Formats: sequence, structure tokens, C-alpha cells
Amino acid sequence: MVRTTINTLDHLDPSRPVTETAEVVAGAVLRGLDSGGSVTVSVRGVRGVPSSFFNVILKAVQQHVGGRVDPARLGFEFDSKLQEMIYQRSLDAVNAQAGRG
Amino acid sequence: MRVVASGNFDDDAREIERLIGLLGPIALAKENQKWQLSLSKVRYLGPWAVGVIAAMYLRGELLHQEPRVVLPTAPKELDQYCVNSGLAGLVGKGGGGQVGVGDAIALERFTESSWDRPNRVVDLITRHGELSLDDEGNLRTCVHEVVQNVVDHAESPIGGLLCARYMSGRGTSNPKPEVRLAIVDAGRGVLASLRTKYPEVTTIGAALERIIEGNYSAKSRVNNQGLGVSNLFRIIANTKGRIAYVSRDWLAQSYPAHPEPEVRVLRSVSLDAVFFPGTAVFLSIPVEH
Repeated sequence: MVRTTINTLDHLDPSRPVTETAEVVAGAVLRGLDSGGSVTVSVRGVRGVPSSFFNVILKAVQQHVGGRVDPARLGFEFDSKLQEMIYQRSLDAVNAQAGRG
Repeated sequence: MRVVASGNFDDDAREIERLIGLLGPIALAKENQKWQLSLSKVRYLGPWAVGVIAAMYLRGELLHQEPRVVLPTAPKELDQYCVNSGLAGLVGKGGGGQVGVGDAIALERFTESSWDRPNRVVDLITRHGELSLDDEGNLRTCVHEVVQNVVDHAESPIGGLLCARYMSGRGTSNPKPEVRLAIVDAGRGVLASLRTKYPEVTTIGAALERIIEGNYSAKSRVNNQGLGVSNLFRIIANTKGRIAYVSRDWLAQSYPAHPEPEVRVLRSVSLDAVFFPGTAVFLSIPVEH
């Protein structure tokens, strides 16, 4: 199975809203998943990634697949524990919603 | 109406509470009701107080109240800080110094949460020394979480206001360097926002407890999962910083000696009207050089 890596920094315009970048990355993620592969989103090198960034991507994937976000198909790469904590809380929230249907 | 303030307004929940109490009558003033705030007897203002005063002033302008703020002229450091912080320029008394130099950034109004919103705060710190990647990540994430909340939920007629000041570590009360920030709006407050999704929540205190716990959101936009404020309190506790989160007449706070968030009604020392027309988030984040 092909694994695609998306570098957030490649899509990040500092003057634009955080959620706008997240929407662009979400689009790339969905295309990667549609091709049957798995996707890794790297947030390495991005200082200060707020929950809204992860929420937009995870919600887009949850709505696309119609259920829980599978970390085996959508992974994230971090360079700080803070980024990982923010992501994990977003993932738990989005998957809890999916579980409630 | 004339309100006279005196003494020090340090970056401390108790002092901010006193300031909000003093400004209560202004917060309750009707459209077109003129007011003047005299700060000439004030001897210290921090960025937390500047954020509150600036928000009240801008709201007063919108309400055609012809607000007038008389700034202190002494001590010299305070006079200079009023210029550097942008407060003097905002209330029409600029001049005699540069805005946004030294230990302060000038007041910044915002309506969007862009990636570069925290840049000036980061620059402020790096003027004084190196900033570790972890500290930078903490700082940027905190700013993003608060700013995004203002943009998504506040419906603030003045937008949001950000101001910050760098404090070099001195003395026993603040032995380490830290950056102090105020991010303030004049919007509808957390209760009105949360009740659009959770009508059973009836007090501001209950709304604050829920957003600090997490997973409660008005879901105004797709990016909302109700985690921003909850993440904010966690980060501040982890950094051993301080946070005071004011929504109208309620306060949520945590600080190193009390890392578990405390939620309570603002206490008035001597006035009836303790009320801030919006949400004000005050942060003190330690930094290592």
C-alpha cells in the first residue's frame, strides 16, 4: 500500500488563517486516501499547531469515510509532545462523535 | 460620568478584578452616555490592564459615548509604557516615544487567526534572549487557541485585541523571565456562545467549567471541537504559568500554587457593578533563555 507524506510547511502561508491551511491539507489527505493508500501528515517544523488545524483535517476524513478516523490510514508526524497532545485530544473528540453516530 | 482609578494595576487576577470593578459603571453605561476614565493617579499598569482599558475605550467609541481616558504622566516608566503599548495612541495621546519598542508590543486588533499572529510576541521575547523551541511552541499554541476562539465565537464588535509585555526575571515575586499577554474582546461571552448548543447551561460559571473540561463547543464552525480553552489551561499548567479567564462577571484562573482551575464570580471590593462586557484572557508564560 502506497503511503503518501504531506508536509504542512509546504502548504503554509504565514499570513493566511490556520483553518485555511488545514483545509488545503485536508484536501490532499482525502485525495491520498481515495487512491487507496495511507497518508501521513507531518507538522514538523511548524511551531504552535492549534486544535483547529487538526480538527479540520480529522473532521474532513471522518465525514469522508463515514466513521472513525483510522490512525493506520491517517498518521501524523510531530516534533514536540505538545503537538502530539493537541492532536490526540482532537482525534479522541472526533472519533467519539463518530461513535455516537 | 467620571471614574477615577488610583494605585497599581499589576498583572494579577485580584488587581484586574479591582479594575473591572472600577470600570463596571462604564460597562453599564448606555449608548451616547459620555464617560471619562482618569488614570492620572495610577502608578503601574501592566498589559493585562491595558487590554481591558483599550477594549472599554473601543466599545465606548462604538456606542458613541465619547470616551475620554486621562493617562498617567508619572512615573516616567509608566508614561513610556503607555506610549510603547499603543494605549496612548489609541486614546489620542500618542507622541513622545516609539510604539512597540523595548519590553512591549503595541496593541494589535485582529479579526482573523493567521499563522503569523503570534510573531510579534515571539519577536518581543527574542529581543531579550533566545527562545527554546518548546517555549515557542507553547506560546504560539496559546495565542492561536485564544485568538481562534475570539474569531469563531465572540461576535465582538471591536474584533479582538492583543497586547503583550516581556518581564525580565527580577525579585522574589517574578524570579524568572516571562511574557504577559492580554487577549480581549467585547463580544457575547462564553455563556451566550455555549447556550446556542447547550441550552441547559444557565450560568457563566457552568459554561466556563465545561469549556475548561473540554469537548463542549458551540460548534460555530467545522474546526470547533470544544478543545481550545481546555488545551489552553493544560498548557499553562504544564508551563507553570498563570491564566485568568474573565467572561462578564465570572473568573476562571489557575496559577502554579493552584494548578487546578478555579471558577468563581468576580468579587467586588466596594462597588456594585463588577462586569466586563466580553471575554478577557490574561496569560503569564515563563520563558527560559
